[in-house]
Parts: sequence; C-alpha cells; structure tokens
Amino acid sequence: MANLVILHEDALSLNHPIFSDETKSLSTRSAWKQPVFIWDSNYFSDAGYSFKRLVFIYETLSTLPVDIYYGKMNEVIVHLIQEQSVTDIFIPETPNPQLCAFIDFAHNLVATHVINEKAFVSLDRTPDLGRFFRYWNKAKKAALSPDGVRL
Amino acid sequence: MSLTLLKSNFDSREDLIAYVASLSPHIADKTVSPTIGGEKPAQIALDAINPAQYAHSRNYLDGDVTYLSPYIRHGIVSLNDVRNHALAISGEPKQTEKFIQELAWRDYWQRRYRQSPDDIWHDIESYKTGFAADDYADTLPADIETGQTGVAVIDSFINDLCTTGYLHNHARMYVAAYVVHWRRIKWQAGAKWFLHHLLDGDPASNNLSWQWVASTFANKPYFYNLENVTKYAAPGLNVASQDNLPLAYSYDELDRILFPYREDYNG
Repeated sequence: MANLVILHEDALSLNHPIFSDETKSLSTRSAWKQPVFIWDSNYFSDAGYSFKRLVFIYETLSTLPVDIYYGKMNEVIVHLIQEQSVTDIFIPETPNPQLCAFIDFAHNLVATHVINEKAFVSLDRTPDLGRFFRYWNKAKKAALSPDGVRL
Repeated sequence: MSLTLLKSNFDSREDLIAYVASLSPHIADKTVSPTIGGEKPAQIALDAINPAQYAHSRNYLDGDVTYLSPYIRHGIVSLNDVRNHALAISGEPKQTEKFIQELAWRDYWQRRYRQSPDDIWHDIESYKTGFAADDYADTLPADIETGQTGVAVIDSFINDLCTTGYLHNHARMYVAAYVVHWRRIKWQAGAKWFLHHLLDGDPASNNLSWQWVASTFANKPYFYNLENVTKYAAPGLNVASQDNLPLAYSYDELDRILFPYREDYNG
C-alpha cells in the first residue's frame, strides 16, 4: 500500500507543493514510491511538439529523481497501480484538458489528489478576466507583494 | 504489457539527444535548441534577471529579457519564485513593477484557460478587421513554415523560431501580425505552428496572444510597419526597405491596405 506522485509536463520541479509535508499529510499511507513521469508519445504527438521541445523536457526529467516510463498514460498507470500496490496518487493541478482527462481516469482507479501550485496572487474573489487590465487593477497590489499576498 | 522504464542517466547531452531521437522515430526534423532543460539552467537564468534593465529594454529585440519562459512554462520555476526573487533583489519597487506585470500576463492567461479550457482554440470575439473568420485561410503556406516569405525580417524571425525554439516577444507579435493580417491566415494555424516550435509554447499564453494580435481578443488588430521594426531591431537584422517591401509603409497606408473594409478607420 503506497502513495505515488505522478509529474506531468506542466510541473517538472521538486519545489512543487506536491513534495511538501502538507501534501504528505493528506495520505494515511507512509510509503512513497519514486515519483513517476509517463513518456507518452501519443500525448506529445497530439500536442504537436517538436523534437527540440521533447529534448528540453527529457533533459529536465533527467535531472529529477523520477522514474520515466514509456507508454500510453492510461495503460501505464493501471500497471503501476497493480505492480506497486498504489492506493493514493498525487498529481499537480493543470488546466490542460488532456491531462485533466488522465486525472479523471486515475480518479476512477484509486484515490487521486490534485495539488495546486502556489498562487501567483491570492485574491478574495475571482477577478473580471474580460481584459488584462481589469484583472491587473485587482491583482496589482498582491502581485507586487511577496508570495502574492497583499500586505 | 510490461512496464518499460526509460533511461535517465547520460554521459553527455549528445547521448541524451540520441536517446530521445530513438523514442521519436516519427519526427523527421531533429533540430535541437541550444536552451538546456533542467533546474540548474533555470536557476542560472533566474539569478541573472535584472528587473530594472528589463523595464527599460524589454521591447528591443536584443533587450535584457530573462529567457525564463521555457522554465516557467514547464513548472521548473514558478511565477511565485520569480516574483519573489525580483522583489528581493530590487531596491526600488517601481522598477520591479513592469517586470512583475509581465509575469502577471501569464497568470492572467492561465486564469482564462482554467475558466474555459475548451475555448482555447475558438475565436473569443469576432475579428475587428473588416473581414469575417471565413475570409482567412485555414492552413499555413509552406513559405511561412520554412521562412521563405521574401520579407527579410520575417524570414529571420522564423529561422530563429525553428532553430532555437525561442523568439523575442516583440518578434512573436511581428510574425503573428504578418501571418494574420498581411497573409490573411487564421490565427489558429499560426498558433499551432508556434506551439510546435516554442520551448515555452503554452496554449493559454500562445493562443490568447495570437487572438490579441488577430483582434478576436482585443478591440482592434495589432499591426506595425518597418519603421517600428527598425526602431527595435537587433544589430544584423536586415531592415532594408527593398528587402521588406510589404512592411515599408506608413501606418495610415497599411491600415488602408490591410483593412480596407474596417469601418472605424476607413468609413
């Protein structure tokens, strides 16, 4: 019975809150498997990435303590869950619809925890996003403060 | 099916590149960017930022930009980290404001993306160019993809894009406006092409910026002339009029040429 962190292309960092003690406290299981990245050629092909983009991503992965598995994301995750007795998956939040579909798929298999990056600005309410400067007028003071928290 | 664990230790960059090539047999163009992935290069780029200089020179094609965008795009450094670092090294908050505002653009695009992720490829508004969406071509012609348009500055920017996976923001706007307004091609075709090449290509920042240029997410189309490119050009860029004829007009002339049916300017 173990926890597994799955990284994706939007969050290739050990500084992501997914590795924080707060995240660890979300699971009752004490065992954590080596974090994983799934190298899915179909995903990259759908995204239309050039070779130079793939090299950049792989180069980044090669500097991180992650196991890189080759295959389709949905198939690899099923096997990882079985082989490593995974009960809880932790994955960084993303707006990417394809990755969101993968997260939904994982949700149907085991407990899946989506972890947010630290917000650039903390705002009391959702700002008007109609145009940038409507957002900026509301976000400016927080944006110019450390950690995006209005002083 | 058994799990296939890939290699992650390499003796050299060349070995890593060859390995990624073996995983990508379907990709014919094996061009590699000089920009190196990883947390260490990201930290070096972060340590080198100069928010005050950035504020003064960022619009110049050889200005003091950060080259952090690929690292931000892939979450190697966060916007929060970059902002906090900028605040920590800047004595004068005013000088940091422009720099942080540019980070805020990315936050804004991401918020828009989260709000309507499935709309990222659709026109948010209609074109304000005097043309309808159907008046624009669906696909990118080969001369643009290969950087052989015959417009010297555009071809130079396209060459940079294809060989390095990076393009200065101002150059992105120049190319995007050329594609949409001079060649009358749908912004989606250009956005897809940029996403293919750019190391920092992100559907939110990229597509919404293209929409801003196109005017489907702005009150008017963005366009420029050769005089403007010349003002911001880096040394060595060929800005000779005879090599950039489609751009070598005044703004009023270009407005009439590019947008003959746009009522607010021509009616």
